[in-house]
Amino acid sequence: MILVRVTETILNVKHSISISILIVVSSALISFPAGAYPDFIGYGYSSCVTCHYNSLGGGALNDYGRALFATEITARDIFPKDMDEEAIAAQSGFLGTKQLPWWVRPGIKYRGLKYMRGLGSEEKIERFINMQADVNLNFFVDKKQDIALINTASYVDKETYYGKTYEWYMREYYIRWKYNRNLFVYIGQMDKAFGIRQIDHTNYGRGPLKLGMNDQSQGVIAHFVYPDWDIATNIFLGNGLQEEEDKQRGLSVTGEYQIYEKFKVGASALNSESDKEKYNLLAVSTRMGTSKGSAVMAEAGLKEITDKISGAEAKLGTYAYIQTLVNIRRGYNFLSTLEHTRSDISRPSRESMKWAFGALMFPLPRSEFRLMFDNGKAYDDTVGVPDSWAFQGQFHLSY
Amino acid sequence: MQKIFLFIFFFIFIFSGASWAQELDEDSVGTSSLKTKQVEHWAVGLGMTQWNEEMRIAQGGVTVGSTANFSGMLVSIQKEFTRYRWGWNFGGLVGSGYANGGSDSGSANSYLKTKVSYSLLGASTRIFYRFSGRINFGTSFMIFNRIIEWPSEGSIQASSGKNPNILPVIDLNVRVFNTWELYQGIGPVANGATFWKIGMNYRF
Repeated sequence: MILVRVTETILNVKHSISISILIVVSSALISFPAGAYPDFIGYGYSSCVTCHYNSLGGGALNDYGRALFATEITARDIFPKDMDEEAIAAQSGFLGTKQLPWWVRPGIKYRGLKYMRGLGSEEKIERFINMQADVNLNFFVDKKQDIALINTASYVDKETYYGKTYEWYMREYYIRWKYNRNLFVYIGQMDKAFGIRQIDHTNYGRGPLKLGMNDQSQGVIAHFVYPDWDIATNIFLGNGLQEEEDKQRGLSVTGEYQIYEKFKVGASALNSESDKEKYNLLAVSTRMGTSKGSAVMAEAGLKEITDKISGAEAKLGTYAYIQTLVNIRRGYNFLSTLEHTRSDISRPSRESMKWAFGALMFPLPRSEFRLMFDNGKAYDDTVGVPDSWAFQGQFHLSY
Repeated sequence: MQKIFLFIFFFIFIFSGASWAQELDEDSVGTSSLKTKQVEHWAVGLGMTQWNEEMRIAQGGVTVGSTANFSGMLVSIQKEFTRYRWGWNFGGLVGSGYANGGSDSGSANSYLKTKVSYSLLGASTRIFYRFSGRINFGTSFMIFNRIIEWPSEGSIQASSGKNPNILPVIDLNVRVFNTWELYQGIGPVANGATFWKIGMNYRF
């Protein structure tokens, strides 16, 4: 049904020059070979389970992920030149070199954001936001970590989390069962399985599609992982803190196939519904390592959103982004993310675009800094829209 | 002010990284002869452009300002000369697309036009630094003329921007396959507005 509507719409849309289409075309072109973050495929780590307890990525790092973060991603300028990487890796545990019992792994994650919006205009807005303050506590039933209980408690200040302010709540809680080396089963509250799990929750392909940092959902995920491909299915029932009428219940499927080393293509689908809204999502994605530490990844998708309260006809929109990470030297990267979205392609609707670019830096162990400029554009049939500018400075602490 | 900030940021962060550069990868591993060798090739590009122009809406001797948004396709051809660490190119470009401008404010000189077609003809030259065999950062200098006729509405006359447009563009090219390259560039084109250029190059 979606494909029929898309075909009709594309035939009807005379000015088919949107960035979405270009990105899809680009994705198609690059499927003909001529020749931490999902971007870290540039280091050769194409599978999330290498570094995360969750094989779909996101959340706490495992011991290997902590060591890798310290020895490949983070700059080593503060360490003596004769200190070898193994010694740096050994300091990456929660208590530094002191080993914790095998059955427990704690972690702390903080993300703070300072942003300035409306640069150059009289409506300049400056804010500081405590985006994330997590305490992570993971327990293991066996030394091989085949069965694990993953928990993340978060503190919310003035930014509400399902009505909560200035209090602690449980963001994640799930059991991870590694049935064998090819199958991981998750039961509990966790991120939904869809698309590339990139950290920017304001990305057009995450937050606006209810896949953002606060959209964890109770459910079950079965993730089949093989060297060249993986596929996950997710049945979900909504966030435990949501009102019943707001809970999105549904099913999603996501998978990636490795065409060759450091080059993966993927696809995702999601269908969910609450008493208020219905979502149908379909996406294709690609991740490619271009040289050590550098990568390009892209995702393009269709989003059909139905407002059940108003009874209005479903809106079929698009979203797409290309993210480029260029490693300049160890710990220092240039990051560029180009995004495009349109809420309804079958009727006149605004095209929104933004280009965020700047520095992604890991100058010190357990820390991350981002300095990003954000240039926004729009193409609208009802008004000429001036550019918008924003600046974001972020600090992350991962202990 | 933003433009200055942007350029300072880029030049300090990116170009001061020259001494930090990674090794070139397999296909351009350096020997002393490779370091002095120059490789030439052609590239044909297909991409998107987005930019804004300041609009002037005039009626009865009164002129008010507004914004015009341009969105279109661009085809380019370039001759490129590449050395071990740096390179340069020059080429021509043609483009076409649509522009929206003005606003339906309901006032006497309210003017709104959508999907007004434009054409574009230009040239550019680029110098770039190669971070690896597949990634290069550079600066292009573009000059282009765009042809657009904003239709008049009664006694209201509208125009936008200027010709020719000359602008620097900071750009990043990433070779995703041997002959395909993703390019993305941004540069100042009007007061507070930028010109975007995103697409793919086929090298031969």
